[in-house]
Amino acid sequence: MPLPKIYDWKRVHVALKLLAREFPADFPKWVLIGGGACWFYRVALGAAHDPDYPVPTYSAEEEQVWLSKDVDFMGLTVAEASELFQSPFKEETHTITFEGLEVDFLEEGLCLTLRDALSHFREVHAGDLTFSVLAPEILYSEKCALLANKERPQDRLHQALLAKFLKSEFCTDLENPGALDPDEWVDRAREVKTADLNFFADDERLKQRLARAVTALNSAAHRRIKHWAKHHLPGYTE
Amino acid sequence: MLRPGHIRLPKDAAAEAARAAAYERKQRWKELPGNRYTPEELQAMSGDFTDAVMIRPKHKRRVMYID
Repeated sequence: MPLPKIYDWKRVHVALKLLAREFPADFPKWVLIGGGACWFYRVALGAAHDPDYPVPTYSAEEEQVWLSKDVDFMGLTVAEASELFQSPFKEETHTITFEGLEVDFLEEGLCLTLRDALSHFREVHAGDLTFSVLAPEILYSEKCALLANKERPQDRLHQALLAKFLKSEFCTDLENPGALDPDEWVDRAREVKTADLNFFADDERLKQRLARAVTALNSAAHRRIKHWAKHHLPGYTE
Repeated sequence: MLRPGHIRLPKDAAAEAARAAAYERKQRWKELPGNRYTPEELQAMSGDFTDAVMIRPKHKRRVMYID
C-alpha cells in the first residue's frame, strides 16, 4: 500500500467551504455523514453547554482515533460523483481525490440508505457556509448498527457522543415548549428507541429531566408527547 | 443506467464480499500515519462551528383538493 498523501488542509470546515465553492449547485444537496457529521455534533454539543451532558473528556489515545481526514457524504451514486468530479473512485480508499481532499459518496450504510439521508438531514448555517448534515437520530442508528457488526474504536466514541447530544436535545426541546414540534420530537424518540431499546431507560438524569419537562407541558398541545412518555419513559406518571 | 436511490445495493455473496473488502481497505487507509486528525488539530478546529445555526427542515405537505 503506498504511503498516504499528507493533506494541505486541516479543517472539516475548510473542506466543506471548498466543496461549496466548487460545486455551488450540487453541494447543498449532499448530506454530510460519518465522522465529519459526528464531529459537527460534538462541536454543537459543546456549544450547548448542557451541565448534564458535556462533551466527554477524551484521552490522547481516543483523540487519535476520533476523526479521519476523508469526508463522507450521501447524495450521489458513485457513478454520478465520479462524473461530477471528473475523477474515478480510487479502489483502495473508495474516495475521489479533489484539491487535496479525499471525498467519499456512500451509496448505502449498514442500515442507512440514500433515501434516509435525503429525507432526514439538518441544514447548518455557519457564517457564509450552508451545508446539510445527517440527522443525529439517523446517524445514531447507523452507529448502533456499526457497533453491532464491526470493531472500530471510533464508532464507540461517536455513538457515545451522539447519545449525549440526543439526550441533551431531547431535554432542551421539551424544556422550551414554545418552539417544540411534538410530532418531530416523538418521531425522533421512536427512531432512537428502535436503534437502542434502552436509550430512555438507562439514564436516571435523562428520565427525571424528561419526566419533569413532560409534566410541565400543555396537555392539549402536547398530547402526543405525553402519550409517548406514558408508554416509553420508565417511571413517568401524571 | 444509474440505480435509483431507493433500490438497495445487491445483497448476493459476491457483492457483499466486494463491499467487505472495500470497507477493510478504507479502514486500513484511515489507520495510516497522517490520515487522522491529531488531538492538537481537533482542538484547533473545535471553534469552527460554534456559531453555527442548525435548522430542522419541516417536510412540506402537498395539499390536494378534490370536489
